[in-house]
Amino acid sequence: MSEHKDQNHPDDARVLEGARAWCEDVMGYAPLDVDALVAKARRAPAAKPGRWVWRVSVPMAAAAVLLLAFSQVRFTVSFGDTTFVWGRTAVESLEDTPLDASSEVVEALAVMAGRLNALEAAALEQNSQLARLAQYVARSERDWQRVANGLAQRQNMETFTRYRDVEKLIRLASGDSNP
Amino acid sequence: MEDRETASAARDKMLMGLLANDGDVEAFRELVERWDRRVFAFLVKGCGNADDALDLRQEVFLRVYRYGGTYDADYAFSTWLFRIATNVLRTWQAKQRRCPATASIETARASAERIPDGRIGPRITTERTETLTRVWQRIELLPPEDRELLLLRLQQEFSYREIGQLRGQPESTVKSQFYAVLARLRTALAEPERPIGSVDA
Repeated sequence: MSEHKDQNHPDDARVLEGARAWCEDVMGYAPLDVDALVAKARRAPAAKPGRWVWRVSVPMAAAAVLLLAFSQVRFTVSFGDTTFVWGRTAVESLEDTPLDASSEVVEALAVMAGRLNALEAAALEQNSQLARLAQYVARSERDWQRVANGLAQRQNMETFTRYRDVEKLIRLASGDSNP
Repeated sequence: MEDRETASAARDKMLMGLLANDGDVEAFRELVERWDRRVFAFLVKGCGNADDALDLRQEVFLRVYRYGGTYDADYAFSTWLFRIATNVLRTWQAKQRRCPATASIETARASAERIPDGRIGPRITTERTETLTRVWQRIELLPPEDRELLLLRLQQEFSYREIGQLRGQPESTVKSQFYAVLARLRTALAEPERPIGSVDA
């Protein structure tokens, strides 16, 4: 490597001479004890890259298990007028159970259908009361309409879900394997 | 000369192969013997004191031993080694967190005191001694990354391309940075002489 390659200015020769002298001004030193270094490295080996795989995969597996668990449960989340329903209904879970045309299962399904009907009736009554209450607290006719529409939408969705479940129950009880 | 350098680089790669594949301690020992002086010279000028440089040197070669398996033989061993050395040095510099101006002025004063006329040679003029003193003082006041660049280029004699590889920068960037460092050092020659304690950081 020739010095002129680094020069870009008439004074650079002097600057480079000084800089090179500075770079080469190195005091003596003790040689490295290789055996001690190797012993140290073997006492505390480096972290293997594989450990990073565990650090990522374990939380991901845990998240997947949680997701699977939550998918077996039914969630209903409402944001204003919009309702999100996620997960499996009790009936959908029951569909995975072999029926074997057992009378006990049919009986259980009938009980569940009864509960669904009761829930439907309670929901209708609750929506009706909420709509009446909204008449008192709404600041205007327009506000009340908005609340009433939201309640109606929620009721429709809940009703649809319940009737869908009831429909499935009936099909299951009648031995239809493809509800 | 080029053949000798090529043979030397091939020897480094062969030794690294033995270390990475077989954990060959003797191959590692030879690598240390071949590079110890250069690594220590780089570190001692980079950190400014021999005690820390010895610790840093140990850390550099410890990483070589531990992570030899990650070395890519498509690249020169020297650039891989000095990438480790610059990383170790930068980590140390980050940990120091001391007032750079005070430390640099002290180092610059000590550095200037180490320039005896006899060391440079009997024919050297007083003017040249003064030039060297000023340049040394100015180097000690440079930011660490600029001193690192000077060391890689002038002490370790890496090409701009090699420095770019080990610093992760384009060759043209390295070149312009080096000229910028030289320009800063030239200002030391233009400045009127004054007591070193009054030098602005």
